[in-house]
Amino acid sequence: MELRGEFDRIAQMYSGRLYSHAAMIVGNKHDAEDAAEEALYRLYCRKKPFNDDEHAKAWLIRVTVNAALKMLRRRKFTAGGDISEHEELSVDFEYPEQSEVYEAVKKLPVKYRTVILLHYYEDMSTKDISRILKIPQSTVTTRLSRGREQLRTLLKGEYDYE
Amino acid sequence: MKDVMKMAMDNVKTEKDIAAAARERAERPAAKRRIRPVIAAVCAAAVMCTTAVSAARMGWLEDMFGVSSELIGEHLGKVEVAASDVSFEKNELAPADMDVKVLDMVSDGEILIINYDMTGVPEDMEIILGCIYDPAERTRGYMSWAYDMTMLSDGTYAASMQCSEGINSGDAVEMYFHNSDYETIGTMNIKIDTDVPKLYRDIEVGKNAVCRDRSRAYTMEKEIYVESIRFSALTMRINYLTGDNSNNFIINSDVTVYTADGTQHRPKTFCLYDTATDLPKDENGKYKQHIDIQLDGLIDINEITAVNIGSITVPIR
Repeated sequence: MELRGEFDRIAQMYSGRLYSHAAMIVGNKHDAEDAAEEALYRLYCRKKPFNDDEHAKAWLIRVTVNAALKMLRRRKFTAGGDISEHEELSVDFEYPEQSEVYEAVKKLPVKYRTVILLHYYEDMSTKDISRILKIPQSTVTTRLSRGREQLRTLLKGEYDYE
Repeated sequence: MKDVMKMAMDNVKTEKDIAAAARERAERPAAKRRIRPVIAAVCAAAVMCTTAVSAARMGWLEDMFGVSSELIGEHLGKVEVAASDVSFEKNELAPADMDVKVLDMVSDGEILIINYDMTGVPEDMEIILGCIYDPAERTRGYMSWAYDMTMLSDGTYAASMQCSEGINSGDAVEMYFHNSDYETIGTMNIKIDTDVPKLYRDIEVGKNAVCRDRSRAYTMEKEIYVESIRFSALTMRINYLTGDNSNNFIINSDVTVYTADGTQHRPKTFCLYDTATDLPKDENGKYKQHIDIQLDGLIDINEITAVNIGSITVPIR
């Protein structure tokens, strides 16, 4: 795959997805845009070709998630981890249950939120998640399980969590 | 659950053209490079502050900027910055032989430039620099820092970093080395031991400017009140007031510095931190903000004729 030539196509295909990933992790618009931009910037600069689109997607998600987590650490380092009300995300959902689920996931601690996001949104296995987050597979399983438990409580058990 | 979450996530959208912004950032012109042998000075661990500019120091700085300029001697190359607690630690993702050593550090009080050597890294391995600048004292409502990395013609590197608090003794720098997957493979910690003289110029402005964020698909304009600008040989800081606490827009607005010889300079890199949570306000309730910018070349701060910020051009004498 000639990366420069493919940049527009891949970016168009995944930029929205990368933004929504980052937004769920960092919780504010500007940082989410920056994290997604970082991933696409790395894509533009990347020299090594991808095997296929799925490979590109997995790589982009990994870079975005890591960039978003890094931003959270930086925010904690510099500003105590608060998010100002001006930068809170504003999302128009089609149905109330979408809003309900989204808000519930957003309330989870970031370590559970990230794992839940990759599992439910990207259909990733615990093995793939452990590779992306560089944590043991057993830790992913534990976080997934605890994240689900908290979601059950927040959503009063109204969904199928598998 | 999965289906609802997927549908919910598909509603999370932004108007910003992120791909265009990424492309623009990647295509920004890099610093000019000149092929020239550089004899790097060995890092001094002892405290040293001198006005003598060694040939070796001029060498890597000239290489970095691609010019032989008196400004380097007069400003950036003047003060050797000493450091303690310099350490590089790598993890299991780093090549076994990887090592990073600081060769030289200089500062004009606004920017710190580090010349370092990175060895044991395969030629085809991409290394991405990340950086946290941690000032010993914080006087601003929020701090920011801008950094950049350039490879020099002798194979060593120059990293420049600017902090909104200036460069002061007791400050700490954490440099992160990432692989192409953005995973951290090593960390360098540096603690500054030198009281660096401040070689900058402050300009009072006191004007309103309309800034337009050009990175977005739609027109987003905001009015700011520019209080003052601080220039050093490679940096500028704009102090301004806004009605809200977002500041990303000014980065993508028009900022140009004009000098007497007709040269124009634009931002090369700028502060990366824009989540300002505890900004101070003035008596009218406006947020007091600033932005740190590294320019795309050296400027003589006494030869600046004008600066353009969004809709205004400020003449400078």
